[in-house]
Order: sequence, then C-alpha cells, then structure tokens
Amino acid sequence: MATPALSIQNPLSRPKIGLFRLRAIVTTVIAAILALVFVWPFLCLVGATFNQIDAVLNPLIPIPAKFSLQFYQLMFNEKYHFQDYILNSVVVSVSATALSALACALSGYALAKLRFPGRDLLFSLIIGVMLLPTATMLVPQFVVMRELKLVNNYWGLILPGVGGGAFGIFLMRQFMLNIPTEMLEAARMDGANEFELFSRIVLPNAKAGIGVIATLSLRGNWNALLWPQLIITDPAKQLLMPQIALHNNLMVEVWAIHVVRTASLVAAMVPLALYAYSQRHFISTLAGAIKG
Amino acid sequence: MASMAVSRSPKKRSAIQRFFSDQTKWTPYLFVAPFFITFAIFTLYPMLRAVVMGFQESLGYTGKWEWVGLANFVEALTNDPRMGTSLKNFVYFTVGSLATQLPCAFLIALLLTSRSLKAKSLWRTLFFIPSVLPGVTMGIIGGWFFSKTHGFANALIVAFGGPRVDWAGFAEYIIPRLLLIAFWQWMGNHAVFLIAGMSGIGDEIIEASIVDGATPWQRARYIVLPLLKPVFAYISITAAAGSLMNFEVPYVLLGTDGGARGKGWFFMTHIQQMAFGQFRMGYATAIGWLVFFIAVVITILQLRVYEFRLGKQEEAS
Repeated sequence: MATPALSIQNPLSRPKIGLFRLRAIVTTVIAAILALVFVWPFLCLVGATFNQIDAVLNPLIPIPAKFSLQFYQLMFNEKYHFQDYILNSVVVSVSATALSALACALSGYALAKLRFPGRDLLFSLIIGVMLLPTATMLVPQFVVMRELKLVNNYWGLILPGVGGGAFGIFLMRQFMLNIPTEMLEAARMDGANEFELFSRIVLPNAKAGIGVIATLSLRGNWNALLWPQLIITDPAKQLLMPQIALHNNLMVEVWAIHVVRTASLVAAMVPLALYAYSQRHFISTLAGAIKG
Repeated sequence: MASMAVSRSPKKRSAIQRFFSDQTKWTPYLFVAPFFITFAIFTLYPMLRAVVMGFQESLGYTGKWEWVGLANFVEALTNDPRMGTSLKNFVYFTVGSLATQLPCAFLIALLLTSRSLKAKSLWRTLFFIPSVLPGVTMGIIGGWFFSKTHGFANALIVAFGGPRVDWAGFAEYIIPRLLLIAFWQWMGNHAVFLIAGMSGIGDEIIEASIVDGATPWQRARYIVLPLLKPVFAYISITAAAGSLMNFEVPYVLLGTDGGARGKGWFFMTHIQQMAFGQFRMGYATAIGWLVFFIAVVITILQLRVYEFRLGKQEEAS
C-alpha cells in the first residue's frame, strides 16, 4: 500500500532480493517517520520539564535550552510535597489491587473449576453486573459512603474493590479454565483441603492471569481521579491524581504550571512501567478479550 | 445460624451439618461471596437509594432530603442548557472521534502488518503507548499543547507565519481540542485491535486474492475491510460508551466552569459539578439516571453486535 508503483507486478512471483529490500526500507522509513511525528509533541513536553526556569525554550524542540532538574526538585519542596501524595497513592492502589486480585482469583477459580448448585446463575449475574453502567451512580454511591463514615477514609477507596469487580472475575475465569482438572482431582485424592488446593495448586498455576488482572487493577486505581477526589477531602490524605488536578486549578506560583506538568509525567511513569513490564500480556489479553 | 437450625428440626440440622461438614460444598460460595457482598453494599444498595433520590433534593450538604417529585427530571429535560450542551458534546465527540481515529487506525494497521516492515513491535508500541497514560496526564498534556503562550500548537502556527490562537478563549475550539487529544490517545489503541482482527483473517483468503491478481489496495478495500466489520463495531460501541463517561480530560483541560462560554460540559462533569459544586445531589442523581439509560441503550447495541461471539465462547468453554 505504501509503495503502489512497486506492487503492480504479480506478488507471487518471488520478488528480486533488491526490490524486496527496497520495499522493506521504504515501509520501515514511513513507519518510523509517522511514529516519530506521533510521539514528537510528547518528547517536547518531556524536554520542557528538564528546562531551567528562566531559560527561553522552543516548544517544537524536545531538547531543553538549559538542562536542569529544577522542576523535579520543586515537585518535592514544602509548597508541593508531591512525595506525600505519591506515597498515599501507592498505599491505596497496592492494597486495593492485592485484595481485588485475590478476590478475582478466588471467584474466577470457583466459577471455572468447582461444581456447585447455582454456579451458572451466579456467573450470569456477574456478566449482567459487568454490563451495568454503574459509573453513573456516582452520587448515590457517595451518599452511601458518607453514611457508612467511609468518607475521608482510605477504606472508602479500597472496600468497593475488594470483591474483585465483574470484569476481573470474568477474565480470571477464562484463565482458570486452562488449569487441568485432573491436577486438582489428584491433589484432592492426596487429601488436600480446598484452601490448600487453592494456595498450592491454583495460585501458582494462575500467575500469568493474576498478573494481568493485577496490572489492570493497579493501573485503574492509580489513574483514578473522580472517586478519590470525592472520598478524600483532607488535603494531607489526598492521592496523586486529584492533587495534580487541584494544583492545575490553583497555580500557587508563576511556574506552578511547569511543576504540575512535571508531576503529571512522573505520575504517568507507573502505568508506563506496568505496560513495559507486561507488554505482551497486555496486548494479547486485550486482543483476546475482543476476539472472544 | 447452625444453632438456630438445631432447635428447629433434627432433619434440617443434618442437612445443614452435612453441607458444612463437606468442605467442597460450601467453599465455592465462600469464594464468590466477596464480589456479591461488596456489590450489594457499594453498588446495588446505592442504586436502590438512587431510585428515591432522583425524586428528592438534598438540602445543601446537611444529609437531609426533601421530596420534589418529578421536578428534577423535568428540569433536566426541559430547563437545563447544560444538559443540551452535554448531549451535543457527547454526540459530536463520539462521531468526531470515530471519524478521525478509525480511518487512520485502519491505515496504520495496514502499514504495521505489511510483510516487508522491519521492527514491527517497536512501531506498534510507540502508537499504542498514549492509551496507557492516565486521563489526568492527558489533560495536562493537552493544556500544554494548546497553551496560548508556550504551547506546541501555537509554536507550530507561528513557525509557519500565522498568528497565535487563543485556544481556551473560544467555545468552537473546545471539541476540536478534545478530539485531537483523543486522537493521540486512542488511534494507536484502535490500530492494535484492528491488527489483532487482521491476524484472525485466514491466510488462504489473502493467498487466493493474490492469485486472482488483486492489488494490495484492492485487497485492503474489498477483503480486509469488510472482514474487520465486527472489530470496527466493537471499537465504535466501546468508544461511544467511553465518551458517555468522558470526565478526566475535559475536567482537567476545561476546569470546573465548563470551558469557554460553558460550552464544554459533558454528562459526567455536569453531574460532578451539580453534586459537589452546587450540592444538588438529588438533581445530580436524576441526571445520573438519564445517562444510565443512554448507557443501557449502548450496551444493548453492544450485545446485538456481539451475540454471535458470546455464543461461540460458551461452546468453546
């Protein structure tokens, strides 16, 4: 498609090596140029965060006029102390993720591998919940949290997720279906109880699946803005994303906007690292989910 | 619970005892319990409460409520310009996103699946990466890109001899700005889905078309494109559902006043502002119900498109 002039001839007749190599070079160069254009503005923003406060910068070039870590230092000074919010976000999202991944594994395993009356009904209910647009129920959910005294409390962020979430359970069940039933039967024969079975056989065999669920859940918890912004009202307890959004509106000093940009890039490091860590899983899981 | 059963009847006791003495019988229910318990407390109960709250108005932040009948729904449907703006923006943003992102995603997917391309996964990663960035970061990036004094867009315009544009000052720039940010964030993601769909097309179909002398362009247009219809449908419906819940980027980019001349409202920013800016919880709940029903319609469309796929999956498992 990129080289219509070359592709007129019958592609089944083996292309001469030179021609094939030329096509490879042309398509690869086109892909490289497009990708570079695509990420260029992002690189420019990254470059701008490494600029010195008073140095005039050309926004079209990703190299700082005068290299400096000032904005990264300002982020952690007494005016912004973003390290506190990073820590808060780590505490909340790691605990929420650990609990929800465990719940997903437990229920995914039960729905995939255990036989019990009502199983199919419960699974259908979970599918139904997955399709329910519950995000619109934000306000009543908040009102209930307030009545349960969970506002301004990290449990208000963690507890709603400890059940694992319908989508996570659905994905986990798909992973659990791959565990051989004979293996479970054999362990039962050897006298393992159901809890030993889960912790010794199921968990080690479902590591990949749990990794994917945990990655998605950690990303979701870390990136969340709306819910933590509502639940946490004490500034000292606030999480990173709401705090960045808050500073974006506050602008406590002239260069605050640069500090906010720097902080938003630092905040993006977590999902980027998660993506780098589980890249293959990510794309194949998402693609698998739609291919069904 | 067990002791209650003891006093009632010996027969029942033995049934319950048998149930709890056989671990394989009760553990499955224990394993699925966390989901259903948290769902009941944190989703189902609030939804039931919402049925009543839609017909009430909260008295400020006091936690007291007043019955107002249908007034909330009447106001939302007839007397709230922000609702009209939200609906218009939802449609404009959804259609605009798909019209700009899908054709480019298709072309990028063709390019990235080209047999002669080297380092395929590198290019795919570069296009995909923006979709993992947090919404807050995307909003901040957008704010920088369209900054009047030191943004990328204006620097580019000035470099070509044009005047600086006050992007934040005019209502007509709101959706185009959001569309460009969304394009950057989601186009590569769509391309990856299309690539996954392309890998499902059998080699024999492609080979046959080559034998029949189809040019690569004809092959893309008349074979690959029609076979990708389900993937396009999936992407479109997911995008519609996503833009209905659009919150973070407009909130960070436009602030709490709905952008220039208040033309930047989306349903979720409107709900958030009504409930927690003006403390009209009842009214915000009523809007939540209206959005809920739009979302249900989208979900039904989604099920229609995916019916045959779900059927297949059940057979497989």
